[in-house]
Amino acid sequence: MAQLKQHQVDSIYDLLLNHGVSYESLQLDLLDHMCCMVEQKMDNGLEFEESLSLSTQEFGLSHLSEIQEATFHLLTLKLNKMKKVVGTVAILTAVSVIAGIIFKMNHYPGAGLLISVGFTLAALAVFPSMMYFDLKNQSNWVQKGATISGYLAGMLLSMATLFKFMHWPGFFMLYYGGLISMVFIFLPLYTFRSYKTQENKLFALAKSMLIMAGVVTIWASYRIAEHARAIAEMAAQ
Amino acid sequence: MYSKEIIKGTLKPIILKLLQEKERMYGYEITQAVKDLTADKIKITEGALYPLLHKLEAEGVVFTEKENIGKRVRKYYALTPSGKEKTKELIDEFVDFMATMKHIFEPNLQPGYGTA
Repeated sequence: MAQLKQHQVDSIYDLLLNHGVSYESLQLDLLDHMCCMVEQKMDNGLEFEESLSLSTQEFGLSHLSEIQEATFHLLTLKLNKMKKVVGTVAILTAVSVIAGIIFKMNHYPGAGLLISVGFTLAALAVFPSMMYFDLKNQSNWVQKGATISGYLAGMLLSMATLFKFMHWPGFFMLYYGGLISMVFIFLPLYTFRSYKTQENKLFALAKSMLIMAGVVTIWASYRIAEHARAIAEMAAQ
Repeated sequence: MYSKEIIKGTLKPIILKLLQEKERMYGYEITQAVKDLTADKIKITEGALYPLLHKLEAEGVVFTEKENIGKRVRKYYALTPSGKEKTKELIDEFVDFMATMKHIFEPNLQPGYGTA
């Protein structure tokens, strides 16, 4: 049984790389496969070079990148199923947050449970997995930075709301951490990226300004609520 | 050599059946085994085999073990416990399917197969 030497294996590996096989797990499969083909021909009395050129003809080197594409295609089908699961959890999360707040305003029982389940799921399950899916499709570093800081802000603000609601310490750190990530990291990166890629520059700027307006509204409504509570406490004294 | 149209859909049951019999196999071994078993009538191409193996791995039907063979790494594929269950179901279904096909393509087609 012929056994290929290191430089022979390396030359087959280079062949794979040059024909666009970059996915490591598939590289191992195809490298072993080609080596087996070559070794079998060498067992029948051929030299390495001849065996290799015959094997590559049989294999059809031009198909190599297609094999990788076919693999990715089948693997993303799997990813789409995962997306469906995450999407379902995300809808449940949103429903429990909305229902929780409506319950709370009407003093119905179960509001606390709905709100805490909703924000915990948002911070620990929904935002992280959505971030994972978004990052998978992105290669630009500015875009990746915007995705990470945006979802991080979402996680921190969800946690902040939960902590505030449960009267746990650490609210301020989470709340301001979220706001800072949103305003000073996400918004600049997002604006930069969309300004560069979008055709309508005015539209790109308008979107960023609207997000900013939303952040200011959240911040202001919290300040107003705190202010109202302080006045109420003073009046009670 | 059968046409692609007919072989389509049989690849997965064939691979799973082989893995059920042989415990663990590597890619080249699978292609050779199919060639030998079918007297060259069915040739599994690399382009169909490896994407499918990777998909089965992602689905948790098979798992891989790496081993050094000479100067390279060989990946062995084997069924997971849940993969063994699925394989049994798929093979049962496939055998049933072949019986149905046989009935359809027999001369003097009689209606009512499976209802008697």
